[in-house]
Parts: sequence; C-alpha cells; structure tokens
Amino acid sequence: MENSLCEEKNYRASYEEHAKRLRNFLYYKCGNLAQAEDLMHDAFIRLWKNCKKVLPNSVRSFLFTTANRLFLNTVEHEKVVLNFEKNTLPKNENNTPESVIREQEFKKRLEDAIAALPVSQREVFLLNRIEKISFDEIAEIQGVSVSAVHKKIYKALNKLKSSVKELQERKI
Amino acid sequence: MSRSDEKEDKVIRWLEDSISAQELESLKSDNDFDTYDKIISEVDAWELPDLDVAVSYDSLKQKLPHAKVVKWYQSTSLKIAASFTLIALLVSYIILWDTDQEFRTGIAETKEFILPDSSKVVLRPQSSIKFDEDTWTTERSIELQGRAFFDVNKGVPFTVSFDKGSVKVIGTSFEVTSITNLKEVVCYSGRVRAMLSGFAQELTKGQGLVAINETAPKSINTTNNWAKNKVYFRQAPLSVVLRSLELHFDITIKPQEVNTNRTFTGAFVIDNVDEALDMVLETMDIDYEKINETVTLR
Repeated sequence: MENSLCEEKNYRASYEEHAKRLRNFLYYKCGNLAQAEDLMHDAFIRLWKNCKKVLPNSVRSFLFTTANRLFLNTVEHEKVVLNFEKNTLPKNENNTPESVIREQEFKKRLEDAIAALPVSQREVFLLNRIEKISFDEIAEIQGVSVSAVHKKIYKALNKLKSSVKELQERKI
Repeated sequence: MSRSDEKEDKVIRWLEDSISAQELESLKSDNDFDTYDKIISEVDAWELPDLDVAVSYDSLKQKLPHAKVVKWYQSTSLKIAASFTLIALLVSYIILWDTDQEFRTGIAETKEFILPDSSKVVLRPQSSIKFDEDTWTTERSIELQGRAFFDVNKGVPFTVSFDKGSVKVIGTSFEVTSITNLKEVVCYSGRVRAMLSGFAQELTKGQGLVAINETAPKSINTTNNWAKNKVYFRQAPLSVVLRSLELHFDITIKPQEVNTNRTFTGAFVIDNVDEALDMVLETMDIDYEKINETVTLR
C-alpha cells in the first residue's frame, strides 16, 4: 500500500500540502495564530489516528471537517482580531506621510470590519480572496451548496462596503 | 431575475474573474463598484506570516501517538492482499475513469470508507459503492450493490440507489441491503425517505422496510442499534442468511435436506465463525458439522 497515509512519507507529504492552508482557515475562524496552529496540529493528529480509514483523495475534506469540529469544541471563543501583512510595495515614491497614514487607516478599518463579520461569511471571504480557493471548493469545505457560498460572499462584501463608506463619509 | 439578483450574479462573476467585458462595463456604472474594487484590491494584497513547514512538522511529530490500535477482523496477510487489490483497483479507476469512484470489498472483508464530505460508509463483504466525485458538491449520489451502513453528514441531498429502490436522506444514519432475494432499508437515526419496488415510505429511528424474494415490501421495527461487528436479519429467508455467512467467513455451507425457506430474525457476529454459526443454526435448531471450510447441515 504505497500511498497509505500510515506511511510517514505520505503523511508528511499531506502535511506539506495542507498545513498552511488549514492553519490559515483556522486563523480566519479564531483570529489567533498560535491557537490556529495548535488546532491545525490536533486535526493532523486525528488524521494520523485514522490513517487507515481516510482515502488519499479525502484527506483535505477530512482535515477541514475535523478542524471545523475542533474549533467549535474549543471552550471559549474570544473576540476576533485580525492582522495581515501586505505583500505589495508602496505604489509610488512620492507617498506623502498623509497618504501612508490614510492607507494604514483603511487597512485597519477593513480588518476590523472583516473581524466583525459572521464567522462563515468571514471564512468564505478570506478563503476566496487570500487563499484563492474557488467557490466550488469552499462549498465542499463548508458542506453547503455553491449558491449558498455566493450569497455569503456577496453579503460579506456589502457589509464591508457599508463600513468603508461610513469611514469615507465621516471624513467629509 | 430581479435587479438585485442580477447585481449579485455580476459581482460573483467579477470576483471569479469570469465576467464578460460588457457586463463589467455595466457593473462599473454601479454606485458601489468603486468601493467594492477598493476593498478587493486591498484584501487581495494581504497575506499571513509564512508557516515553516519543517519546524512545525517536527513539533507535530512529538505529539503523535506511536502505537496505533485499529482492530481488524481478518488476518494480516488477507488484509494486506485485499487492501493491495483495493488500492490497485482504486488507482486503475482513478486513471481510467477519472471522476467516477468505485470501492468494493471481497469475500470476508468489511471496510470503512470516509467519503469526500467526511460521511462514513461501512461496506460489508462482496459489496460495492460507486459515486461521481465531480458532482459530489451539488448532489451526493451513490450506487450500491450488496450491504452497507451509512453515517451521513449534513449537506446537500444524499441518495443511495440500488437494484429496485433508493434511499434519500434528510440527515442521518441507515443501512441498506441489496442482495439476491433480500432488499432492506433500516434507519438507525434521523430520518430517511426510502423507495422500494415502487413503494415509498419515510422512516425514522428503528423503522425499516424489507422485501424478501420478489414480494411487496413490509414495514419492520427494530430496537437494535447498528453495530460494526454484528449483522442483523429480520424475517430473512434462511438461504439469504446462509449466503451471508458464506461471504463473511469464506466458507461453504451445504444445506442438504434442511428447508432454507424458513425465516430467521436475529444476528451473527462477524469476527468469529464458530460463534456466528451457533448464533444462526442453534437458534433455528439445526445441527451441523464443520470440517475445515465446509459446513454441512443436518
């Protein structure tokens, strides 16, 4: 059985393939990177214990479903605070200190608005935009229909829009 | 389609990057578009700190239990041979048919599978399930031959079709038996909608529907819970039960003059052949002699 997950080589390959996405998925839920990594490890421990039962092409679904259950079982859900890094350089050299501040303010506002979204909307939005996971795949991860995923992300985007507009109006 | 649905549709396709130039123009004229665009281009540039996979894998390894205990009822050599066949089959199916997945069990083999949505299937000997992975997210549809127990996770509709019938799930666990001369559906938790020989019925916990030989289906009730190491029969012809014993233990049963049309209600264990034979034959008051793999009834 050379592709059995009970072989450490294969198990490790699954880890390399899924660990980061799974940790990020959990971060979008709980907003705490250390906790996300712990829960991600717990999910992989369950995968190891079930290595005989999980078929190679069900690994991802097993991990995400398990992680979801583990998250729901964590005793306390603290208030979510999100914090992202930016992977782009400042657009041009003639950035004024004012525009830099405005940009940071916008980022902070958006992070807070995303943190305030209902957890499943936040998950859909960030899995799609940051993890670049397609709506079909998200539907599979969440166990819902694709049209439900469409509704969630559209709702999420409109809530973010309202909160951004509020910020702009306050400026004027 | 209402205006707001239309807008949602365009926004979705814009997010997916599958919008036509014409539709994009009309979306751009929407009051909200600039804000949408500003949000999306901001968020698309975000990322989380990288994960050092090597370091984090090492710390995971310290937490892994070393010995794993998974009970199996068959001998190791048989198990390895059977698993190997299954993997070979699986690989060839993946290569040849791509999205159509089929899993089967051989004689004396009971196997548990986790489906793509993490629902569980326990497949009894000489059984198979088939499903299309491509359409799985919109419709979980399985074709079954033989006997299998299902523990279904919530989600889109889950349907099991078999010769002469089908079961549509409302969220739950149930067992389907589709073997020669015995078709049976038993619901163990939740609710299912069963179709059997054109007869439809909604079943709740402990209720079942059984059709023996080619007769019309009858309702049955059970207080048993489903158990992995036990196989239950309710008013099943003895011939069917004997055949099931043969498949579970890879033995041959010679009924001689014994009337195998009598019905049997009860169970046998699947991890001990002598105990299993006693559970069926003693109950039915039938003597038997077992020499190697052959059982002769008297």
